[in-house]
Amino acid sequence: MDTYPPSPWLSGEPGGERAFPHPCTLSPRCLCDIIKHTSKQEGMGVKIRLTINGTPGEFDVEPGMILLDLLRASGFKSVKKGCDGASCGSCTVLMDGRAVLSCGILAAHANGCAIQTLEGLGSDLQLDPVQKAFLDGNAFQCGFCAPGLIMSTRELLDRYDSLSREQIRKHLSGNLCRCTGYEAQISAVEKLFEQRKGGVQDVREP
Amino acid sequence: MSANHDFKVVKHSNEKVDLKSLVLGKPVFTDDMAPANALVVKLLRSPHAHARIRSIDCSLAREMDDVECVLTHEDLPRIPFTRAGQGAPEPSPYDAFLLDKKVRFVGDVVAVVAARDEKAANRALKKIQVDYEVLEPLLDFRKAMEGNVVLHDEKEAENVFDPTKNIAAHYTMEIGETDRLIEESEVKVDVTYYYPKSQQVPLEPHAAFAYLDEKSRLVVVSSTQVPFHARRILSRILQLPPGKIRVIKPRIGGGFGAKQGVIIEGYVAAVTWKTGKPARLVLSREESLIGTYTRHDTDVRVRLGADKTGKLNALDMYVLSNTGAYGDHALTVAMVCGSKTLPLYNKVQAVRFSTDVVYTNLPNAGAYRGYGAPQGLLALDGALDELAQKLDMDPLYIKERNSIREKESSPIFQIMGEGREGVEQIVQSCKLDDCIAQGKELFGWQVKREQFGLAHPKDGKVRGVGCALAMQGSGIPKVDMASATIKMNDDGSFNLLVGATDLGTGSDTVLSQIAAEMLQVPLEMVHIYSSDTDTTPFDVGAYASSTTYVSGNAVWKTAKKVKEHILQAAAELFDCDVAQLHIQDQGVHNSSTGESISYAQLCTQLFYTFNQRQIAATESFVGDESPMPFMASFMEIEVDLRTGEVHPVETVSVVDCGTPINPKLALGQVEGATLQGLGTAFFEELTFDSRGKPTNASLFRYKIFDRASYGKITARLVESYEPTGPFGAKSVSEIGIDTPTVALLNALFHATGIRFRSLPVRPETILKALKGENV
Repeated sequence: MDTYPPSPWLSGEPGGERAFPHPCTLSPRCLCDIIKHTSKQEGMGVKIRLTINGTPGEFDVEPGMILLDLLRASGFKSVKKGCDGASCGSCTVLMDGRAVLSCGILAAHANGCAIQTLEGLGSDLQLDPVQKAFLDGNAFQCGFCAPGLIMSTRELLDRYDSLSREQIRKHLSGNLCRCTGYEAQISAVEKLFEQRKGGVQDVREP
Repeated sequence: MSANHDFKVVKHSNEKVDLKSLVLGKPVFTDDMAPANALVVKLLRSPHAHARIRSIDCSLAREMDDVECVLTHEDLPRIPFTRAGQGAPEPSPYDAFLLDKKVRFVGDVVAVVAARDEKAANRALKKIQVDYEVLEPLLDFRKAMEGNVVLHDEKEAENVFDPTKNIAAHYTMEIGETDRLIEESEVKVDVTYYYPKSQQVPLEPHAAFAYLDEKSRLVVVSSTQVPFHARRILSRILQLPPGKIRVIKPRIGGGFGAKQGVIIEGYVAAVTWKTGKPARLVLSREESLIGTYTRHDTDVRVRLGADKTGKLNALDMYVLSNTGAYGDHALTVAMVCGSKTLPLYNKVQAVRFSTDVVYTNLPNAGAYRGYGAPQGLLALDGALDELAQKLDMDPLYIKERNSIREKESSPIFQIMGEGREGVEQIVQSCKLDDCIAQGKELFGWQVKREQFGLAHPKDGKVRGVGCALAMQGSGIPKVDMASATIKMNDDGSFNLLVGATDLGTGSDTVLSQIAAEMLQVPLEMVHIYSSDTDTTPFDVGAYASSTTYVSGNAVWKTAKKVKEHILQAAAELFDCDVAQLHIQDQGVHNSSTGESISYAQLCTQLFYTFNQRQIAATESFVGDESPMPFMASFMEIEVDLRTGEVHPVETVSVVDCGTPINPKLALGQVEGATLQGLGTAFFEELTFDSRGKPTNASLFRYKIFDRASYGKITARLVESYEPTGPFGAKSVSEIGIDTPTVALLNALFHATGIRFRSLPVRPETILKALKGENV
């Protein structure tokens, strides 16, 4: 039944456990060695380079700092901390185009990567189709999970041409929502894939 | 107004007014707005379930360069209070202190640290040395009243029913001769059900920050459901006049009752008040799970008597409720176990309700969506299902024939309120019969009851179906007050200021729709601003399913008043009688002369050139009654006979919430509540070891449903018209959580022939029972 290529994030089967690769496999430029040397010494920072939402920058990070905290401290408040334990998906961002949990990645490991947060997806003037779909579907209540779910959905659309409702449910199961009962959100994503089938262009902001 | 009113804004699924900011990821939540220079506040929590603090040595922490302030019970005035965010005087006992010299659960707060950054705060926590006299913990709530261990021996506590027996609250009432009628009945049921200690799990953990404004007033920004109660309670514990405090609620990332208390605001406020500096605190998920509120886990015993046709004669409910370390919402939640369930079966000749709410050395229970009704209904509906089982009848028939209908009443309405007397009520809108009929049809109840069950296994699996009926209320009558202010702008738009608290439910949208409907303007011409104690009028806050009905009525009254002011001003302008005028399409029209003026033109003239004034109004509303939404729920499950695993297949809920002001948002409430109820039914429960230490306080171990595994949820609305509601509306936010738990147990009986009476039902329990072992 599955014709789409397996994602590196999934064990082949849709809905399979998310295999979480060592961050070094994500970023060949990661600063593991430096971290090993500095992690015992307090106050020893590392300088890393990140391109966040298209803007390159240099950041001082402490060895234990997670990407989530760096992003929030740098003003990207859409990235939400919901669980402290890589369980809720609220902190999902795109790292070199792939959806990752920013709470599960050390900031230093992301050195050299391009990070996209919800702030970089759309604007008041032009919404991303994913944002539009959730807006049209009135698909959030409190909206605390919105940034993570929108970024995960964005990746899903970039990765797959078409997915069934069941496949969508399994793929997005890492993004928890406590308010909605999910139905409206799943329908919104389903509609996005349907629109694509119908030839409506999924225009993405550059 | 009639039920057939042709609405222009109401009954339309308008886009949520705050949704665009949410999908754009704007910094609208509490901690998104905290000042960058705010001190980071961390709490030192007790490792013991029950201990007296002999001494605390904070000198090492205080000496640290980056530490600004360390507070213990020695640094704060000893003022007893309740964290419960309720109207004053609160029905909850004053049994807590901001910081105490005794700790009563693992996670109770011992000290507060404020440092320049998070690392320093964490280091400082480790440097505080506490000398505890460890006491025997009381962990089994069924033994609490033996009084061998006493939690609240402090002399300052007020309004605790019997501290020596650990009874926080007690209540009893009886109508008619319950015992005799049950005794004389042809069929009797006597069963006890257990509802577990589940947690609300709002996705945004509790967060608050405080600062002094330019006039040195204390500003507290908090993810709270009760900003006005927060201001009053902070005023008590900090000994500041309320006017010196401003509480602001930004967007909230869910509450479900967990934020109907002043749990963390006191700590940031105390730090700011002591240091003069801004301070912020965000709880970790672990702290949020054990250090805020949980459901009151509860044993509910129901005894009933009926005749052979299934007609109920009498009902008796006894509730033993576990409030944990403190009595927040203790009496009121326990009373709702009865008051929001027993009237559903109003055809009895006698009914009794009694409750004891007891302390244990476990996390503090408090408000949680449903507020007692889920616990009460678990046992009441379960008992009716067991009555049907005894009579070999369709449980839906038994429940339907005994349930309440339009124009009927129950003496319980008057006797039992929340923590006090209730009010007399006649049910003015009730389409429960339609809910049942539609749900039955949609779900395929008849067919599935015949085709499923233990006699029809397929590939080692069986299916089963269960049903449950529910009711809730709409606010607390004669107690909950809401108000609204509307002022007119010179573009014909309106500012709507409400104290009501949108915790993600969409109440800002619903209230705007009510104002827009009354003033005959499109929704975008109403600019709502909510929940700021300085700039919005009073509202008790978001709880008891009150916002659409209570705050909605306040908005309705205010908008009506503004409409009258507009007509009056136009009559002055046209020099005609008000009776000749009507409003339509953002303007005032004179039907006899054909004259008309737009709101924009009228307001501009009133500002600058003609009979100059600001059109504005403030009105308040207190409910004389609490109209009930009704619901019929149906659940289909699949049980794997080899493993005991059980999966939800489909849950269908049909709800009568009066006029749905925004149908899509109303359905969202039902769907979300259903899923939350399913969580408790299937696996949600906080667990503790033999010393009271939590064993699953993370989202990795405490699972909530993800989007892949709950089967299918179908929600439908059946419309009624509540004459006392704004445009016919009643509440909808809580009711959905009442039924999934008992519906699962009823379905499990249908599938396996085994009656489970304790939640959550784990596969191992089912497997053991299937093998004939005693569970």
